[in-house]
Amino acid sequence: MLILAGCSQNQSRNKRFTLLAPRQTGIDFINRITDNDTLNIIRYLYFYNGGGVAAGDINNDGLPDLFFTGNLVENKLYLNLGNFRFRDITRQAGLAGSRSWTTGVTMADVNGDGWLDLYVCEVGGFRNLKGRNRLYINNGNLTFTEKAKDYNLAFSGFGTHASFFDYDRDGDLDVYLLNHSVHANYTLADMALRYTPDDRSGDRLMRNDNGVFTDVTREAGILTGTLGYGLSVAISDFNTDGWPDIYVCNDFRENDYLYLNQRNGTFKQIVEKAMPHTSRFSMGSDAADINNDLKPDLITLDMLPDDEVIRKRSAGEDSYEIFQHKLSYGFHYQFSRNALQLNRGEVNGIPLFSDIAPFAGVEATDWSWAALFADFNNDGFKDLFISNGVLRRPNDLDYISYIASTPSGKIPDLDLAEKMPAGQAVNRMFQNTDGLHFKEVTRLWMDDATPNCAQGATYADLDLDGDLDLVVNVQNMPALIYRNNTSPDSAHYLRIRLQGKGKNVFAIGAGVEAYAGGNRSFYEVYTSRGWQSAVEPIVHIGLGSNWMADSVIIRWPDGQMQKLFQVGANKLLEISQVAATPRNGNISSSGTKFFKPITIPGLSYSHSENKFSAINHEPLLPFSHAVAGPPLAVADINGDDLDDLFIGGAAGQSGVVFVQQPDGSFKKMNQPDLEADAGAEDTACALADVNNDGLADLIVAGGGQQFNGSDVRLKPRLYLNKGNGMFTRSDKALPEIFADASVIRIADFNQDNLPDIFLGGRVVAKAYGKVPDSFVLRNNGDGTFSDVTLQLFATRKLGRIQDACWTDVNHDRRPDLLLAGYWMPLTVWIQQPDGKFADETQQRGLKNTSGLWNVISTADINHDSLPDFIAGNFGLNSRLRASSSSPVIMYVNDFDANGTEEQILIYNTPGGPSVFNSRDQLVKQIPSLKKKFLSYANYSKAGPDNVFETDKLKASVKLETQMLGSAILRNNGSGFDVLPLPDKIQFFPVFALAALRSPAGNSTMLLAAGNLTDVQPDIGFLDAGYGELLEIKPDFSVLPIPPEKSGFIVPGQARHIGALKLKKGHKNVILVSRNNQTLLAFTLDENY
Amino acid sequence: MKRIILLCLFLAGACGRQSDYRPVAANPESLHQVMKAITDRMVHDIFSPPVASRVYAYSAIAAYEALVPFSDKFVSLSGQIKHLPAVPQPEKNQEYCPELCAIQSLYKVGRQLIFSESNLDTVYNKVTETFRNSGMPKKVFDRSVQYGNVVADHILQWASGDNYHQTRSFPKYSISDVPGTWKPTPPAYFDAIEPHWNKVRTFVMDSASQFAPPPPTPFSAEKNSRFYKEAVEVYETGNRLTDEQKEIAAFWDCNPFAMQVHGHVMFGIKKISPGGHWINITAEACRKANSDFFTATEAYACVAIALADAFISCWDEKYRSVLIRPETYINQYIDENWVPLLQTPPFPEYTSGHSVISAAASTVLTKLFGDGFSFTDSTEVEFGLKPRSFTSFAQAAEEAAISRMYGGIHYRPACENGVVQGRKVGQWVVEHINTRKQPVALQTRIKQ
Repeated sequence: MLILAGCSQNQSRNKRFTLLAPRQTGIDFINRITDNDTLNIIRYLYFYNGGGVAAGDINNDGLPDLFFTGNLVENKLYLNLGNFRFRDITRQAGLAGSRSWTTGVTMADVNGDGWLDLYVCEVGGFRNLKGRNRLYINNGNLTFTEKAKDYNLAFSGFGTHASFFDYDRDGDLDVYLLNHSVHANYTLADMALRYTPDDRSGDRLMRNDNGVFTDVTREAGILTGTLGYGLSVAISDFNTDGWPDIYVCNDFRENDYLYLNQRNGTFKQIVEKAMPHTSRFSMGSDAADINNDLKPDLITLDMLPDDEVIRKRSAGEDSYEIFQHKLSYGFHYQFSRNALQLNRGEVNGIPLFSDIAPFAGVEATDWSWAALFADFNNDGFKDLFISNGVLRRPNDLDYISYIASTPSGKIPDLDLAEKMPAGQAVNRMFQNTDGLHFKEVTRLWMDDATPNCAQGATYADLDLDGDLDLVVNVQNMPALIYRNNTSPDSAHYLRIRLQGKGKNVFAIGAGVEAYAGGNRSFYEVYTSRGWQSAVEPIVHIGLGSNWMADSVIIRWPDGQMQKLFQVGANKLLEISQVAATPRNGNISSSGTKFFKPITIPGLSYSHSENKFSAINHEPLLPFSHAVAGPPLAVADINGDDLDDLFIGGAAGQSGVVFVQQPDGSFKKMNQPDLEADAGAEDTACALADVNNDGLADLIVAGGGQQFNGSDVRLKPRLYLNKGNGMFTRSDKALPEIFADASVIRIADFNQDNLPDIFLGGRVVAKAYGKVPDSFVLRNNGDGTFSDVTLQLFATRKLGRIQDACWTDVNHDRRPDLLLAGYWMPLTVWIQQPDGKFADETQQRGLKNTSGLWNVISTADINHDSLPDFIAGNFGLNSRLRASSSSPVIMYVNDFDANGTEEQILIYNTPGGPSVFNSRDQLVKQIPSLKKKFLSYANYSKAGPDNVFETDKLKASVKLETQMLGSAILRNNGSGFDVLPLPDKIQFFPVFALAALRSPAGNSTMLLAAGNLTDVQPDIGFLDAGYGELLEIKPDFSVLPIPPEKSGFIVPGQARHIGALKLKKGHKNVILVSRNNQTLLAFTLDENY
Repeated sequence: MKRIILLCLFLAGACGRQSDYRPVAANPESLHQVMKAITDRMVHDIFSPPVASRVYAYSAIAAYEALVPFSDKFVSLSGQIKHLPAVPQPEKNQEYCPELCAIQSLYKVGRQLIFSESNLDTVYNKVTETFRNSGMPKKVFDRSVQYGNVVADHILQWASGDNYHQTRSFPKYSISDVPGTWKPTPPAYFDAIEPHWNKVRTFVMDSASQFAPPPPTPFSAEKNSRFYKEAVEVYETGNRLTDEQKEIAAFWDCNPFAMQVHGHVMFGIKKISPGGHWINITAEACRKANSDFFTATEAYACVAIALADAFISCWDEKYRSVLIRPETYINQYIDENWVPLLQTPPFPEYTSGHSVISAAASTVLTKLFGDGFSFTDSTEVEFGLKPRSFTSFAQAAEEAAISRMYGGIHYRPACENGVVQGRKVGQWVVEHINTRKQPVALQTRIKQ
C-alpha cells in the first residue's frame, strides 16, 4: 500500500498540475445548488450557469487573492497568505451576508487609487430574486465599502458580467455591463427585439465621467435589446488600431456582436462582415493571440459533445431545410460548436476571421463554460483551458422525446428537472503546439480530471513561482485549486505588471509584444475573461528556453509605445508609463500588396444559383454538388486580338459572352443561342477552334446535381463561332451523350493537330454513389466528335470527377490525363505508344490519395521539365478526419429495400468509426431503425456494424477517403511524392487554383480559393477561406503570404480562376468566379 | 393466490370444453384493450397523424379478415378493396376461436407497424392469458394463434406494396419563397411532414385526388381581401375565446407532440392523434351499443379505412395548395406577437385534417350505429381534460372541425370545406365497402 501510494504521488508530481485539497489551501468554497420549488431550471433558464471567480491582489502584497461568487450561497473572499495558504476574510472585509443570485465578478481599480475594487453582478427583478450589481470599493485595509449607487453602477436586472476598459482612451475606466435575457424562446420572428431597448436584459455601456458612470449605451451604438442573451464579453483590439473593440457572446438564435471601436466614442457592429459564421449558443469566450502573429484571435464556446455517445443523445443542428429556412429570419450563420476565430488581418477596415476550431481540434468540448488562453507550460504558445459540465442535460433527446414528454404534460417543474440526465463532464486542457494545433492534454497534464460541473475559472501565479496556477468554481464540489508544477528552470517566463498614467493605474487595455529567440508573442491587459470571471492585471509571458526577451514593446492604453531591450527571464517586471513615445499607425498596416482588386468597366456579372437542394433529395448526403458553377473561359472570339470572356449561368440563367473593347472595357454580347439554353446549369466550358476555321468555338456542359438521365440540360453543347464571336449551336457536332459535367479539358491527345475533348462526369443526381460516365471525344476533323472513351480507356466509369488535366507526365511527348474527384485517388492515365491509356495511379505512388478532390493544376515547380501538380482537397477544417488506416467511408446501398439507395457516412471519432447521421436523420429514411433503436441512448452506443447488418454493409458500394488535405504532387520521373501544403490552405475546401510564375522567376505563385456552404448543418459551413496566395520555391518549400499582404481576398464560394490580358495598359487580370455571387477581378500590383 | 390460479388452470385444462370458454372469448373488451394498447404505443412512439392512420387501417383490417371466415354474416374486403388479395382460409373442420384469431392478427400487424413492441406485448400477454384460462383447449388456442398469424402475414405482405416505404426516400418538402405558401411554425419549426402522402396507396378511393376540395381562398395580403378577412376572423376569434371554446379546442387538439420550450429545456406534450381519437370514439360507441366482438371488429375496420383514405385525401390537398398557416400570416400582416391557443401542426393549412377525418369517420359511424346516436366521449380524460357529450357523431365531427379555428390553426374554409371533403370520403367508403352478406340497414340491428 505504501509503495502504491508513493507511486501515485510521484505520478502526480510528474504531471503539470496538482489538485490541492481544501484542507491544504483553506479554500472551502462550494457553489451549492439544487433545484427548488421557487427557482429551478424550468423557471429560470440560466439556473445552472454557475458562478465566477476573480483573481487579484487586493492588499498589494504581491500575492493574488481570490473572490468566488455563489448563486444560492454567499460569495467568498480569500486572502492569499503565500505557499498556497488562504484565509476566508469575507466577513472582516465587509462582504458577508450576500444573499442575492450572483453571477459574474471582476476586479478593477474603478476609482484609480491603486487598490483593486470588486464589481459583482447579480440578478434582480425576476421571481424571488432582488439583486443588483455591486461595486465594492477597496478601502486599502482589507475592507470594502459598497458604493455602486454613488458611481451609478447599481444596475438591477439580468446581470451576467462586467468588463472594465477605457473605450474612449480618456484615461479612466469605463465599463461594459453584460446582461442576459429570459425572453421566451418561442419564435424566430422576433429579431426586431434586438433593437427594442430592455431595462433589465439589454447590455449597457457606462462611461466614466469623473467617477460617476453615465449610460452611453445607445449613443455609442451598443445594442441593448431584449434579444441580448449575453453570456460572455471579450474586450480586445481586434483590428489592432489601438482602440478596444468588443465581442459579445449571445445565447440561442441571437447573433453574437462584434463592435469595432470607431475612435469617436461610438462602436459599429460588424460580426456578419468579419466572421462568416459563429458559434450558436455562444457561452464563454476568450480573446488572445494564439498563433503569435500579434493579432488577437477569439474562441467562443458552445455545447457540441466530443464524446460520440453524448453527441448522438443530444439535440444537434436543424435539418438542412429548416436551417435554410431559419436564415430567412435574418439571423447570422451560426453552428452549435465551439468557434476558434483566427484573426486574418484587416481588409477594407474589417478584421477578417476564419473559424479553424475543427482544424485546431477544439470544435467540440461538450457543455463548456469558461475558455482561458494562457501559456501554462511557458513555451511561448498560449494553451487553452475549458471548464465543463452541466448539472443536467436538457437537450438529451430521450428526455425531450420520451422521458419528459408525457400525455398529461402536467408534471411539476421539479419532477421535470429531476428527470433530466446528469451532465457532469471533465474540464479540458489543450496544449498549443505550434500556434494552430491544440492537443488535448487533460489526462497528461492534470493529476485529477474528475467529471464535474465547473463554470467560472481563472489563472494566476498564486505562489509566485513563475507559472500560472488554475482556479475553478464548481457546483456542489469544493472549488478546484491546481498548482502548476512547471519548472522555471527549464521553461522560462517573464511577468510584467504595468502601471499606467492617471486613473487607469493597472493599464487596462495595454498590449505587450515580446520577442525572444526568433519567436514573438502578444498579450493584452484585459481582466474579465472566460466565464463570469477575471484574471489579475499581469502579463505572463512564456519564454521557453530563452534566458531573455530580446525586446518587449508596450503599447500603452493611450496609444503611446515603450520599448525595452534584453529583458532577463524569470522575474516580475514592473513598468511605469514614462518616456513613452507615440506610436504610428496600425500594427498590421502593411506596405505593398501582390494583388489589388479592380473593377473592369462593363464586366459586371453576378451568378444566381437556382433554388434547388440536392440534400433535400438525398438527406443523408454530407454535402452537395449543386453549387458547382460558374465556369469561365477566356479567348479572343472576334479576331481583334483582345481577350474575351465566356462565363456560365446557373439553371435559369444564360451564360454570357463579354467582349473586350479597345479601351479595356467590356460589352455583354447578345447571344440568342446561349439564351435559348438558359435552362441548363452551366458547370464546365471551354473555348477552342474545333473546326479549324481560325475562330474559337464554345463548348458548354451542364450539371448541378438536379437533372437525370437523358435530360436535355445534361447534353453538352457545342456552339460554332460564326465570325464576330456570334455562337450558333451545332447539334450534330457532339455525340448523343449526357453528363452531370464537372470539367471540359481540351487537348490534341492523338497529335493530329485537332483539339480533342475530355468531359468529366461529376455525379449521378439523386443517386449519389453511382459512378457517372466521363467521355473522351476525338475530333473527326470536320467539326464533329466521336466518343472513343471505351476504346481508349476501356470504361467510361473514370470516377466522380471534379477536375482533369492533360499533361505529358512521363516526358514521352504524349499527353496523359490526370483526374481529381470525390472518393477516388488522384488518378493518372498514361498514354501508351498505341494511343490507349493505362491507369498508372498505383505505380506512380498515388494509390493512397483517395480524397474529396475538387481541383488539380499543373506547374513545373522545380524546373526539371516534368510537370508537378497541385491538387485542392476538402481540407482539414471539418469534423471529417481521414488517414490511410482510418478512412472516411460512405456505404451506398438500398438498406431498406424500398428501391432507393441510402448513403451512410462513417466518420472517425475518438471512440472509433461511427455513423455520422443522427437517429432522427436515419429513421426518416429507414423507419425500421426506429424499432431497432427505441431510444437515442441505444443508438448512441451502436457502431456501424450494429446499426446495419454486417452482410448489408459488405454488399454495399464502399467509398473511401484516405486524405483530406490539399497537396503538391512532386513528379520524380517515375512517380509522385505527395507533399502536404501549409496549414492555412487546409482551412477550407479548395475549388480553384492558378499557378503563376513569380516575378523573380524561380518560384511558383499559387492562388487558391474555395469554400463550400451547401452542406449538412451537422458538417457546418466550410467557409474559412478568403483566398490564399502561396509562394512555392523550387525546392518545394512553401511560404504562405497573409491576406493583408497578398491582396487576393476572395470571400464566398470561389469556383474557378481565370486569367486574361487587358490590352490597354497590358495588364494581366486574374478573374475569380464565385457561386451565387459576383465575378472578382484582380491585377498584379505594379511592383509585382 | 398463485396456487389458486394454478388450480384453475389445471381444472380448465382437464375439463375445458368449447361451451366453457366461449363467453370469455366472445367478450369484445379484449379487442378494445389491444386496440387501445396500439394507440398508446403510437402516442409514445410519436406517430404523425397520417402514418398513425395507416397503422390503424392495416391492424383493424387484419382483425376483421381473421374473423370473417368464421361468420356467415360477414364478407371479406378482398375484392372490395381491389388490391387486397384473397385472404388465406382456416382449415376446414377444425375448431378455432375466431376472436383469438382476430386478436392475434390485430396484435401481430400492430406490433409490426409500431416501434415500442414490449409494452404492446404486455397487454397482449394479459389478454391471451384470459383466453388461455378460459378453458380453451390448447390445440384450439395454438391453432387460432397460428391462423391469426397467417392472416397477419398476408395483410403485412399486402401493406408492404402500398408505396409507404418508397415515400421515405422521396424528396423532403422544399420551403417555397412564394408569398402565401406554408412556412415552418414556432416554436419547434419542424420540417413539413409527409409531403408525399398522396402517393401512398388508397384503400377504397379511386385516387388521392378523388374528393379534392375547391381551392382555398386566394392568398392576399390586402386588407380588403377575403383572405385577410378570414385571417382576421381567426385572430379575433382567438382573442375572444369563451371558456367553452377553449375547452373545445383543447378537447380536439390531438397533437401528437406539442413542443414546450423553457430556455434550453424542451419537451413535448403528447396526445392521441386525430385518427386515434376517432378509433377511441368507435370503442366508446361499441361499448354503449353493447356491440359484440364481430360487430366491434367490423366497426374498427370501417372507421379505420375511412380515416386512412381521409388522410390521403386531405394530405393530397395540403401539398397541392401548400397554404400559409394563420399563425404565420397573422404574425406577418396583423400582429407579430399573436400566438394561437393550440400549437400549429407542422404541415400546410388547407384543408383541416381533423375536419376531413372527423367527418369521414362520423359518416361511417353514423351508418353503423345510426343517426342521433348520443354518446359521451372520455378519450381526453387521460390527457387531463373533461369528457364531452354529443347528440350524434356528426355533431362531434362538426365540433372537431370548428375547434381548429378556435385553436387558431385553421381558417374557416379549411374547416368547412374539410367537413364536406371528409363526408364525401366517408360516404364513398360506406357505399363501396360492404361487410355484410345481406345488406341490412345497419342501425336497425343495433339496440341502443
